[in-house]
Amino acid sequence: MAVASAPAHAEHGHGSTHSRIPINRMGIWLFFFSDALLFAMLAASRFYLTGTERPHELNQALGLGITSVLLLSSLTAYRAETAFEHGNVAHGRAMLLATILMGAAFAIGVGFEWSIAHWVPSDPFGTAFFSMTGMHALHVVSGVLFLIVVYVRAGKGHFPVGNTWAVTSMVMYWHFVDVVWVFFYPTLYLV
Amino acid sequence: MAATGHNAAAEAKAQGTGLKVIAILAVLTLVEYAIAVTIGKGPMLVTLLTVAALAKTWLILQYFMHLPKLWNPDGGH
Repeated sequence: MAVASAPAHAEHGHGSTHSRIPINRMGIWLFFFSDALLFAMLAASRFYLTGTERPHELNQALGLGITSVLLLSSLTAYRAETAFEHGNVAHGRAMLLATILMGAAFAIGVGFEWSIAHWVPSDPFGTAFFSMTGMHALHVVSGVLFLIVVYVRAGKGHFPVGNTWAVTSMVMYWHFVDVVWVFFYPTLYLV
Repeated sequence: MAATGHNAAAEAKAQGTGLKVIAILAVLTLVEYAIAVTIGKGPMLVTLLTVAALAKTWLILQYFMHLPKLWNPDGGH
């Protein structure tokens, strides 16, 4: 019963919200750790299947472009979190919207890369490429969807100063997706 | 509601930290690309790219994901 009623307390800004944050933070880090293992195995499979070879047809400009967009979206996500923590809701929402748009642009970029790919899923490199970018893009798209939820709820005044864990956790998730790409980009495009 | 007074100053300081971190991340990404173009392939390339990726990861965990708050909830960035 106590567990079931906790979100209601958090929603209305009662004292339990702040005391739950350390355990919430531990929980999300445990999720990151388990999810990181999945991505690590995908990266390992790329080297197992193809060694350090990669096709010359890889679109390096597109790879660097979508990497830059995702990196920049981490800054806007950070700025959104900081703005909400300091009560600057309008700026926070603007930065959330920028993050959403850049996340969507990244996903579209990956989709375009898929459409022009010279390799097929049955090739060793194709297996690695489509698995890695597909799983990562799935995380990006789900992140964008949840960012939209946070953006809409922020517009309704759900995240006043001192009750911004939903924004913080969503932004942490977005940074995690960025960290994964920090390893996937060189693994797929540069090695 | 816009931030005012102390809040605005604290927010500006935090935003400045974010800009510095993203600038370093951008430089490291360009260094990765330059290394890959220069070296081409081999164990040295993999080693250098791994070092760069680990450095970028540390920056994101430390400053963007507030990893230190895990063991020091009132501290961190």
